[in-house]
Amino acid sequence: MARMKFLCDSERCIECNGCVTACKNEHEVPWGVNRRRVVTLSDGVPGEKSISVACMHCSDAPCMAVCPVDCFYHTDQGVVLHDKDMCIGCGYCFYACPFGAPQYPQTGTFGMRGKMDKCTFCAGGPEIDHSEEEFKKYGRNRLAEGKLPICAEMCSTKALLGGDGDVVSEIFRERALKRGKGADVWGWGTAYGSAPAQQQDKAKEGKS
Amino acid sequence: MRFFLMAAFVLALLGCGDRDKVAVYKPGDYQGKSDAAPWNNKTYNGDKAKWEGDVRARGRLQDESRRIGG
Repeated sequence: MARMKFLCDSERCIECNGCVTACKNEHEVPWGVNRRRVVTLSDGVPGEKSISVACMHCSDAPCMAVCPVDCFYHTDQGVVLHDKDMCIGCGYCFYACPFGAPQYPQTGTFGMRGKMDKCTFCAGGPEIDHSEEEFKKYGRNRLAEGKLPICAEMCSTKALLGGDGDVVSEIFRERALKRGKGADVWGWGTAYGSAPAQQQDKAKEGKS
Repeated sequence: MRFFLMAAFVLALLGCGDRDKVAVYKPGDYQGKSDAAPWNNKTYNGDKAKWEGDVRARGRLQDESRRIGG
């Protein structure tokens, strides 16, 4: 099996925040901590693009490299997890992460930083599977139930794909080939009745 | 009687023992608790192949064109 990966299709994401809500609900993530969020580029401008961002479970994770207490580990499935019992909440991983994935609950005095919390690819953590400790510290372990991350499974437009890297890339490749490019992506022919660009090209070739 | 006295002495000595409470960190090595593989639980009973098959099948369900047969 390949590594577990997320892939967000910016052509499909409608910025509904369903993935964010599903994640917060599934893992009962505390107030102020967002394991996943939707980022919109050129917001309000025609052609704006949105993508859902969380921990990308990097193969060569910078958070692992900078952690002074070495509390991160890679599972055999390529999921980056950490041991909250060891985390000292220093915030180095937050500075190192290019996606801003590590989050810190700030419930203590003077906004004191708590132990780091991040997307677990719904794979729990280093506690007994489905135990109360695992749920309290890391959230639900869906992967051990043979399920995929709730954010990807709940995505209404299937913009966010998650799971085995080979399967995800295969789905995206087929989708990209089918929808074409340019005006075809927006369904111009369906909306305005004209033939898609590829068919028009074929028609022109036929005439000449 | 002598045996019990010896045992009590040994137990009393054990009470004085103290383990190092400071974790030793080696750069690059994960020092935390070990985690079980996702198939090593009651649901899959160590059946890796079944787990992989289930996860792949679940992944393919994300392709709506296959679900609707389009």
